[in-house]
Amino acid sequence: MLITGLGKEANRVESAKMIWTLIEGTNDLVQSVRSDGTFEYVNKSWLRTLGYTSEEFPDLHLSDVIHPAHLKQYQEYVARVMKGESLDSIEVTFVTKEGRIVHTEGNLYPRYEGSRMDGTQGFYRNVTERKQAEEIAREERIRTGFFVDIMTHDLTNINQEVLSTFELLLQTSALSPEMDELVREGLAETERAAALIANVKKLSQLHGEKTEIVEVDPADVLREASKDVQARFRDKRLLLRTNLSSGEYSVLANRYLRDVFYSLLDNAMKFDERKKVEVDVEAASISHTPFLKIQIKDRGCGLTDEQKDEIFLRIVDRRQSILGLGLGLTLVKEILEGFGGQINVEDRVEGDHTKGANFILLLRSSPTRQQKGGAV
Amino acid sequence: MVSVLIVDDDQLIHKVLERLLVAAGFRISGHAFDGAEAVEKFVQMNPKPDIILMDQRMPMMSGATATRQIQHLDPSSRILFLSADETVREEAMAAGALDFLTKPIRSAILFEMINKYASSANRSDS
Repeated sequence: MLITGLGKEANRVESAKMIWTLIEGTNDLVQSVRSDGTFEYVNKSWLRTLGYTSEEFPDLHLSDVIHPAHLKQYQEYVARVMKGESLDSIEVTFVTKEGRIVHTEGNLYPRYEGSRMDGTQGFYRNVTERKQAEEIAREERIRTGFFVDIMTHDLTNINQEVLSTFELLLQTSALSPEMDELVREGLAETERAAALIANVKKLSQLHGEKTEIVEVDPADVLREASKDVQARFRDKRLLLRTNLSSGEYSVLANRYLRDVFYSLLDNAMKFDERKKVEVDVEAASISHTPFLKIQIKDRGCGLTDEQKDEIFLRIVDRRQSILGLGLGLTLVKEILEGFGGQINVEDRVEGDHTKGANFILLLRSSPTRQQKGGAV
Repeated sequence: MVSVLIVDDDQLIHKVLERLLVAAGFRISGHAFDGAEAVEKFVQMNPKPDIILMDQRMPMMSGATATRQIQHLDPSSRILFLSADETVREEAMAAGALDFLTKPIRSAILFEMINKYASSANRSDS
C-alpha cells in the first residue's frame, strides 16, 4: 500500500496503521494461525462472532473453533497452503464457544515468520444467515413439491373417476336433453380441471428441476403435439398449415417444448367454435441473430389488449381477474424462458383481435447446425 | 373378445374402468391393486390377458417394476401404461410398456389404444 505525500518510513507506518484499522474494523473473521494450530492473532469480529475474549484466544487451538465434522477438510486446506498454495473461495465451518455453527466463505494464505513459512492467515465472511435462508428455501421447495405431487396425483385419479362416470351416464342412460347437456358440460369442466392440474404440476416441476437443453427439430415436436391435440378433440379437425419440415431447422430446447406447441394448438382448438380449425405455423430464421421465429396464427376469439398485457405475467404479478384464463400461457412463457426462448402475442389481423391471435415464438437456433430455411 | 387385466391401487378406478370397458365389449380378466399382485396374478392367469392396463404409483411395487418383471416372464405380454404422472413415461417405455396413456383419459381413446395393441398382437400371433 502506498500513501502519497509521505516519506518512505512514514509511509510504511501509516500503511500498517491503515491495514490494521481495516482488519479490526471489518465484519469478516480474520485469523493468523501458527503451524502448531495455535492463534497468533484474531480480529475483533472473530472474537465477537465466536464468543471469545481477547484473553481467551491465545489458549485456543484450531480444533476448538473449527466444527469437528469439517476439521479434516480444513486440515487438508492447511496442508495445501503449507506447500505454497493460496486458496480462494473455500468454505469453513466454525463453532462458537456456545456451540452455534458459523458458516463462512473466504481465503487462506501462507503466514510468514521472516522469510520462513510458519502457518496460515485466513479471511472469512460470515454467510450463516444466507446458508440458513438457502436451507429453508430448499426445504420449502421440497415440501411444496411433495404436496403438489400428492395433490395432483390424487386429484387426477378423482378426475378420471368423474370423467368416466359422466361418460358411462351418457352411454348407458336415457337422459333428457337438458340432463344430457348438463352431463356434457360437467365432462368438459372435468377436463378443464384436469388441464389446470397438469399445468400446476408442470409449473412446479419447472421450478424444481434442471432440464437438459438439447438440439431439437421443431418440425418433429410440432407434429407430435398436433397429433396429441387432434386426439383430444375428436369432434373437430385441426387443419395445420406450416412451412416447417423435418431436418430444416434445429433449436435449443428441453423436453417441454412439446408442451408449448400443445398448449397453443389446444387453445386454438378450444377457442374456435368451427368444426374445422385452421392454424398457420410460419417459421423463419431472423437474420444476424441466433433466433428462429415461429408464428402460430389461430382463428379463435383472440385476446383484448388488456389480456395481451397480462396473459404472460408471472403468477405473483397476475391480477385475480386474469386468473380465470388459466395457467396455460404462463406455463408456456416459463418453459420458453428455461431455454432462452421468448413469446409475444399480436392480433392475427392487425387492429381486430376478434379475428384470432398470432403467437410469436423466438427460439435459439442450434449453433452447431447450419439452418437451411429462409431468413427474415 | 379382448381381455384386460386392470392394475391400479384406486378401487373406484377399477369400478369405473370395468363398467366402461364391459359396456364397450371388452372382458375384464382380472384386477390387481399393486405391482406385486399384478405379477402374481399374471403368473397364475391362464390364458394370459390380451392387454394389461398398468398404473405407476402403487404400494409394494411400482408399475414400471411390475412391467419389467412381467416382460421378463413373458416378453409377448402387452402392457399399456395409464398414469397421472407423465414424468414416468420414459421409465415405463424402457420397462417394456407398449404405450403411455395419461390420466384422465377419454374412453374413446382408451378403447382405440386397447384395440390397436390387441389387434397388432393378434396379427403377430397368427
